[in-house]
Amino acid sequence: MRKYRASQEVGELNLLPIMNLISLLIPFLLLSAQFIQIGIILIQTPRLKSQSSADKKQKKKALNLTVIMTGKGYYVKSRFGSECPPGKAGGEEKLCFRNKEKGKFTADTIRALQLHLWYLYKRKYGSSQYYEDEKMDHHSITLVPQHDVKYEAVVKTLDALREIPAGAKDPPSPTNMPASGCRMTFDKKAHTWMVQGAKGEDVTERACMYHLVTLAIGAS
Amino acid sequence: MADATNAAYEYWKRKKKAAKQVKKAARRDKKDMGLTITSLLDALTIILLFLLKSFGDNPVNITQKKGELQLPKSMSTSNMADMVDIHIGESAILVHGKSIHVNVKNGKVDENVKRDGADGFFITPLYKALKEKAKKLKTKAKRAGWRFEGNALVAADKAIPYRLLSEVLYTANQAEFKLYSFAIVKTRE
Repeated sequence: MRKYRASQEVGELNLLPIMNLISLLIPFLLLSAQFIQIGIILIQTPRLKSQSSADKKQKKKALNLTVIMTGKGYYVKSRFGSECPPGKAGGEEKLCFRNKEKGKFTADTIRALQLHLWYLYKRKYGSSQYYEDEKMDHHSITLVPQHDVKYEAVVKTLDALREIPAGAKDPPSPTNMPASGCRMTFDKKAHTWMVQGAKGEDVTERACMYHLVTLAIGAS
Repeated sequence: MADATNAAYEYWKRKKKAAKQVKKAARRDKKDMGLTITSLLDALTIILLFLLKSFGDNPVNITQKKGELQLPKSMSTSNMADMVDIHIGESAILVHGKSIHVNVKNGKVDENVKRDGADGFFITPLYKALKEKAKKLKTKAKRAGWRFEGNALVAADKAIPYRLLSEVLYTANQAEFKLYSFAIVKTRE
């Protein structure tokens, strides 16, 4: 005897509940999503550097390049004294780069500082004789902002200290500078920060100038 | 006469049948014409995935608000990592998104919450909150086998004076946080 199976119609998948859920999720995510990309600038504080006696010994030999930031402008010094560009000794006011208007750090003033620091980094103190640990000290600098300076100006100055200026002529900037600039990445395994390019390569000499910035804090 | 009547009746019958068929076909067509939402669902799923990805990109959530917290712009391309975050807004200081009852007015912290008075740098409630965080992180680091380096993320309003930032960094330094990441808005200008 032949058996006939009753034809079973496959019902259509009801997508409306999923649609409702997705329609609810999208506005919620749109509201909470950040379309502005937020990054970071890495900073260290003075105490971190002078912990051991070896560090203290190293500090005596270090170049101690320091940028002092006041409302009037910038003053650059090292353990050899004033590091102002030739013809700008700093004077009694101790200023190498003066702001046209008090408290306003224009792009021109910051660019002038960056080009001068690049000159100090590459040409004047480019050789290892000035550094105990060339890999570390060569990239180290201290920034001392005065208390009334705005935080925004400090951040702009930190950019100028970190990145090699594009289009510099004396000495010329490297031609193969990565577009990502001087990037710091957090190594989750070692749980520490490292200087790396977007593809993981070391970009210290191609993009970074003074990326180990020590920010003076407290009453200093 | 009868023939004519019959013919008229037949004609009317045929017309009625045809009309019935047309109505039936229309009803059948209407039943088949359901809304096709599959492609719409595909598009929505793609948008949802994109938004979920961008939502999970930043390990620390920083919400900018005019008059409260506006980050400065920077050329830095470095990305955030998961760490203790300190928000310095125009009106308050927060640790990990929670209020520590430290109010800010005109870029200054109330002197009552400072250990050494108006000229001091040590902000007591901030120190207590950070010390507690440091203790927890040290235990976590010991278990995970990495060294506690005292990484902290500082998201400060661009208009605050350096003095206020210095006070916060000084206090965080006392609580064993010595490596700071300043949160900025990425720009290439």
